[in-house]
Amino acid sequence: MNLDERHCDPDELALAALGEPTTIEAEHLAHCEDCQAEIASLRRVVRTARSTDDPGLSTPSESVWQAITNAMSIPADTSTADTGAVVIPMQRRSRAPWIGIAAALGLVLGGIGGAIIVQGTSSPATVVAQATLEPLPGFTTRGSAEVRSTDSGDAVSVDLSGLPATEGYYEVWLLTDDASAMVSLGAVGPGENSTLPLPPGIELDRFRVVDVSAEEFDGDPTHSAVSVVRGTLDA
Amino acid sequence: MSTPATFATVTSLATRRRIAPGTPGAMVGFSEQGVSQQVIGVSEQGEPEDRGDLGADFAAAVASGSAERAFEGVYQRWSPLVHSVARRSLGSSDEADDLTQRVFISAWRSRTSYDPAAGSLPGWLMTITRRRIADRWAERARDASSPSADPPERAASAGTEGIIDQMVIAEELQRLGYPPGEILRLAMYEELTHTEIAERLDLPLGTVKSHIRRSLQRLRNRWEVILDEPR
Repeated sequence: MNLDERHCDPDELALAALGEPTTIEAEHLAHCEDCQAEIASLRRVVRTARSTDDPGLSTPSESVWQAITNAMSIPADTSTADTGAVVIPMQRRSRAPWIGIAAALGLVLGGIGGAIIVQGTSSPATVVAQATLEPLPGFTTRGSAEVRSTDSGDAVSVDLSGLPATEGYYEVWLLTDDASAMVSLGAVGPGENSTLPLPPGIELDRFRVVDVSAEEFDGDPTHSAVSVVRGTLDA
Repeated sequence: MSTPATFATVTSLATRRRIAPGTPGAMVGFSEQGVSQQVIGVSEQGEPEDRGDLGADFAAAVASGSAERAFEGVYQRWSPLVHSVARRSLGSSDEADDLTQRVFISAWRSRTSYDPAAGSLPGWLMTITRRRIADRWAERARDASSPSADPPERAASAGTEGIIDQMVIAEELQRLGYPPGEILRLAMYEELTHTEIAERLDLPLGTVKSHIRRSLQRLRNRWEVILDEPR
């Protein structure tokens, strides 16, 4: 570009790009590629901007970020074993101490009407902890989970209603409060009351969050990061 | 991944770009942003001086292994763009919410793949948005009970390109603040002349003209940097 050449006033070039009549010298413009290119590139912006009737921006609703953090709290590459993965905490829950030794002591706790004897199983089962499962953003599923202690070991009974139909399956997990570690308990079907055995020796005061995830038959044994319901076990 | 690489990219874009006659060096990429933010006072939340898109910070946070907070910043900064594109492409706010969720979950899971040297952060998010929108259109096509159901996917994805351009510009315009953003809004969308704008906002004619030029150049530069296209 020849700097000595007298170019058009840049303000006028911008006005020309907007389609306003300008004082640009037609003769200069006809021969100056620089000025022509400047107008053309600004005109592209104007034309693109004007190609919509509604340039207004929208913002996602509040629940979207909650759903994202929910998915973020469970790294997709986390194995079902404990990991040291860095995760963000799930939403804070009340820190009422969960009395894990209740089962061992056979205590009947107040507030939930005492121990429940489950009929129809081979041995009487004592409910030692229960959780109300609340839907995560984007879902309406609700349910409950109960940890039952029997002679043959502990199990979690999960009752879910309103699970969306899926071509995959649902999987029950126990998570730590911050979801930094998790244990898979097994698959559940929709509308079923499923009882899944707990691994002997699991620390229920640590893995106290019951989580149900939507899984696909993709052969990936890790959590899909799509949680449907969650609840914290409470004695 | 490193900051120098970011600078290199921006510099190459800037040198590739034509410098307007009469304004030597005052308008390109990086330096232009610094200058115009000072002059116009756009920067309210004091963004870092990279591309102004949080990309370098985010990549650094990912590299350090603790990117949750940075990602929240990315979400706050860029989710309106993703949502606006999705809403126009898919037609409803609910669908846009769902798509925004999918896009940012995808972004989080593939966060280590973002390389600021390879492009802007919003450009990367727009790539993910395009894919998720294409997925959604494919789902709709599958779900459509009527065999004559439309629109064809290709038309939908071509539409998405145009929508992304429109929304990137609209978003940058919104960030110009007052008065430059309002001046250019009146000029571009309301199609007022600069004389009419000067009267309406009670500003000197010369001020309006120079704001129009600076803002328009800024939008052009931001558009190029964000979508990484030498247009």
